[in-house]
Amino acid sequence: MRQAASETPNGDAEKYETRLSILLLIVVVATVLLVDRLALSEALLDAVTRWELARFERDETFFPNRGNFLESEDRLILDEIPKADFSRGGAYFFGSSDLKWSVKTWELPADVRPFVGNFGLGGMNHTFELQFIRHLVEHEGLLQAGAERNLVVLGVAHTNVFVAQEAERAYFATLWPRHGLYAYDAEQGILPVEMSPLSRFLRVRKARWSGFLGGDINRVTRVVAEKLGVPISVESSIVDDPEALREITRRIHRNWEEELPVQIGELGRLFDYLRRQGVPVAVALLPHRRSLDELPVIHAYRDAVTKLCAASSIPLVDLSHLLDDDDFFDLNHANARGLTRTHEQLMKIVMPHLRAIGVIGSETRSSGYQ
Amino acid sequence: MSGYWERLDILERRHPRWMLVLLVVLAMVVTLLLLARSEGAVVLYQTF
Repeated sequence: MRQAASETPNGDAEKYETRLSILLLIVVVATVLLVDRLALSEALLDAVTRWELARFERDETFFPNRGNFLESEDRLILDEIPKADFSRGGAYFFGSSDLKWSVKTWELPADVRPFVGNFGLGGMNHTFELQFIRHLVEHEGLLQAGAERNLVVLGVAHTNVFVAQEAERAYFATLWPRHGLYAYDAEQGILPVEMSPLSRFLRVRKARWSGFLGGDINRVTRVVAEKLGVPISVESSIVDDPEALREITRRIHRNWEEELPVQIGELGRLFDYLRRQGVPVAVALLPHRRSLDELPVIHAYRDAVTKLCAASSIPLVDLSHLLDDDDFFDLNHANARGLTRTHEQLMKIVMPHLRAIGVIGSETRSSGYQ
Repeated sequence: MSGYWERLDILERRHPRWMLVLLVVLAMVVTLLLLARSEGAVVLYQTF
């Protein structure tokens, strides 16, 4: 009966629909496989990175170091940290976006790179930093080599002075649950979600696909916006107006007198936590624009951090005036010239530690690191 | 609405290959949109 039916016009239509359905299924699967291949392509990533770095060197844009992800935070959480080998110790930078864009990890020699982590995340205050470091220690094995084989460098600045009024809506809080791999609680911090290895694999893969597609759409949009002369942010369009920059900073820090003591208290808790763990700690005061010098929050934060470090016997490196105003790309992120200078100074802090724990030899000195 | 479906039907009969290509392209675009979907707040340019 079925054979007879297929010879009728209706049967032909059924055959056609079946073939069409199979074709569409093949198209869907092929599209997923193609995106997967491109999202994991090292050759494509190298080409895009070279292109972005060339634009960064020409001062056309900043270099977000986000790899094939939507944001550098995704790259860090989904790729760098899970692949990191903490078994021999190392040196790890923590801070906000100003720290995130202060170290050129992509230029580190191959023998140094595995032992240096730039764990800067955007929009960090010291409360979030403590939660992040606790997560790395308690869930990711940061100190598995022995606490003393690690060095934590906190890159701090006035940018850390803000108290999230609704912690669950802060960037840090929304970052972790984004792909369903973690939950976030203002009190408990980052909470890994229990799931099967297959679910984890698929969620990470989906994050890579969406990051790859979204990241490239964003890249194209930025280039088009720049060609059309549309400013990509308020700050980037007024970099030559010191008073406008001061006004933005004043607005961001409008509650600084209440927030500063809270965040200095949180920094003290962070020091206490790291001391209990037995981890060596260093603090670097990151550069800010000299045109912001007259703002009270700048001095108040520097003085408070200096006192706290002295009281806690934690070495402090003051890089706050390392850069000139024209070494910044925007309000507080260094351009290519500024980044070279911050990178050199920050690496000077960690290289003695890496030599002391024996993960790199003295020959690395010839690579330009003292 | 039926007028639009009829016109689409006529177009399909006149240009079956182009309609097939269009369908394939639509399937690709929808798949790409689904893959590009991401959750949570994304900050593509950070002040701090």
